[in-house]
Amino acid sequence: MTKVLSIDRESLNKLFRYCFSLCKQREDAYDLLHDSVEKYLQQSRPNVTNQFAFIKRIARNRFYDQQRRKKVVQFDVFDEDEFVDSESDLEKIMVDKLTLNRIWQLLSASEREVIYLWAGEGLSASEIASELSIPRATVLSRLRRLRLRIARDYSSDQFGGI
Amino acid sequence: MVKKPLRSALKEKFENECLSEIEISSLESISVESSERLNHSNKKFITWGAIAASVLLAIALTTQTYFFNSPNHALQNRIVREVLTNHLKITSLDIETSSINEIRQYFDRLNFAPYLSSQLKGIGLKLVGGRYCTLQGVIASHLRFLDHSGNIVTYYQAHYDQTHFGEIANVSLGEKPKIVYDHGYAMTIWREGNVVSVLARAKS
Repeated sequence: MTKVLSIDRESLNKLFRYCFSLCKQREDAYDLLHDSVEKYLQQSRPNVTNQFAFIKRIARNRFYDQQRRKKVVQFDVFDEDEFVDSESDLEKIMVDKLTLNRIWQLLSASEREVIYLWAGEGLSASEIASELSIPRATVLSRLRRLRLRIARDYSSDQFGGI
Repeated sequence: MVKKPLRSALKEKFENECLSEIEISSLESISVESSERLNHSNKKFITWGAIAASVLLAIALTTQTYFFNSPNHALQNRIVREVLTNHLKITSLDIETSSINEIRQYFDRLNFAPYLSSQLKGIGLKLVGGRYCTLQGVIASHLRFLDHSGNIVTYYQAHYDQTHFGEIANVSLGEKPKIVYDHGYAMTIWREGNVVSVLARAKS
């Protein structure tokens, strides 16, 4: 029996954007998605009700496995003194395209992933924490680092005091 | 420079990243053979209605509609799309050379030696190198050429077997290669003996 993918185009594009958030480069994102779809079809699990979530998880696991093989180590620095609600702070920030593209290049994969889920899929910090099985504090920490990077990139005058 | 709220700006950035039609087609055409067997509870659901539907489908498959949408036709489209997708990606080459002998020495993992088919004669191609790749899951050579206009031409070769590639025109027996036009590219597919070849170039 031949298994083929049965997922709509919008979901495929969402998966691609998720892979893009992990890989940063378009070509790598497409390769990751292609490999993940193949792996999904090769698995003999019947009756997967949410193909989208399943393939997304495969892509995530594949990406971080590759990172580990390449010995790319990322540490999350969590400042316990920072109790600012980073979500609402981020909502206030205004940014231009050039700055955004510049900062995007500086972010780590885990930061890009959280930012994609926050902005691209519209999830809250709690929802992101649940999806990634990480503490909410870690999610907030990664969002906060984005805020700090933007602040450093802009002069204090341009940044409106944030 | 126009500033936008961060979340909107990020959302817009992500939404600008979209799969191309060719990439979507390539993903949709991925298929794997499953060795899944019907278990007992599945067998319970094979009703007479399902059998009747299968008979009707078999009748429909003998019409002209079947001719144009045969499994072999679909398989050849998948092969063409796979090569076209890789042609457009312009992935870095494993070996850069204009020597077919060096190419043959490099591709020692194939069970045939890549060669320049007579089907390439008269096109005016200059070899620039190659890389290992796969075609429908079978290990293949991906050679890159430049034509007289400097356009990239992609040439895939793999060991032919009917399971993976279906029925393909065999030029060794005098059959003509099949040409498919896809997104402005001419995709030629043929086999010679036990080697299947696919050529991708801009439609001139």
